[in-house]
Amino acid sequence: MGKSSAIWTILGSPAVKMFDIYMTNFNDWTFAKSDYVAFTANSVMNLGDFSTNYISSMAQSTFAPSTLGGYLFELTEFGFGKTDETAQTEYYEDLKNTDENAYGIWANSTSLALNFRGLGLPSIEFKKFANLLALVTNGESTCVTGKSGYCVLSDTCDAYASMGLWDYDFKM
Amino acid sequence: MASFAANSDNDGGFCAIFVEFLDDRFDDSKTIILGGMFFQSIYAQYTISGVSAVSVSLFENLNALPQTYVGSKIFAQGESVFTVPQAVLNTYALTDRNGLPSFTATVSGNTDSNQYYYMDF
Repeated sequence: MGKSSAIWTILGSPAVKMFDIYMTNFNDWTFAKSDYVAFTANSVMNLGDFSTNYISSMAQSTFAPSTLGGYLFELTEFGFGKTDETAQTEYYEDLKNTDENAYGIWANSTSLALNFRGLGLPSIEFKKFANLLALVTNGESTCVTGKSGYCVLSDTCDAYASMGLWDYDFKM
Repeated sequence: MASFAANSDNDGGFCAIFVEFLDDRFDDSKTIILGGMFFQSIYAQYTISGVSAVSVSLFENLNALPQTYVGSKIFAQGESVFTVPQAVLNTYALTDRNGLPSFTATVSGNTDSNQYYYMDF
């Protein structure tokens, strides 16, 4: 939805172009929280305005691409681990794509892409994540380190709630 | 984490974790990509102004699971949550096999008097 998209002409070529991405839950999070109910039923993109469900006083993080006209956002931190709200502690293993020799100008960056399915990790970080996931699933995970590869667990997702797998998260 | 997980109906059902391998021989695969499933947890507002000045504001999606958080809160570092399971095997002092140490193995809950086991390390 770039500035040159024809949609902006249809909308009268506004000087400030606004759109949002407001998705509902589609992979049924009852496996992580048995009484989970989605707040909204449909996924929408609002063009020319933002959803009224979100207001400026809500907690938010605002940032811009690292270069004008670019699509990459600079990352200062990206990790996989867990936060313990009760103990007020956290532990995250670094998964940031820091290797400038391997990644060049793409090092320490992220991008938002609706045309990609899940979370894409470059090879070094993917392998590290695969090892970490194996640890927290007691070896039940299998990750394919190859094109289109991802990870699978041998049982259905609800089977891993009791071991606390869904308490793990990504922090950036 | 649950943002990127989904049950698969194939082969009796398994849990797919869509953390996906990026082949860094390709430039677009050298960055960390937050794809469509990410937006189940995070609501995004885009603003394009001027020639190509883009800003993005991320909020906790109202559909998100309770532990989803947008903010700057930082807690003290706790103990590692990636502990490697360890099993301590004491050698059996009364026997060995070709000079290699042996171990006693006990299994509870089995009433078969003629039981034997394969141990796969």
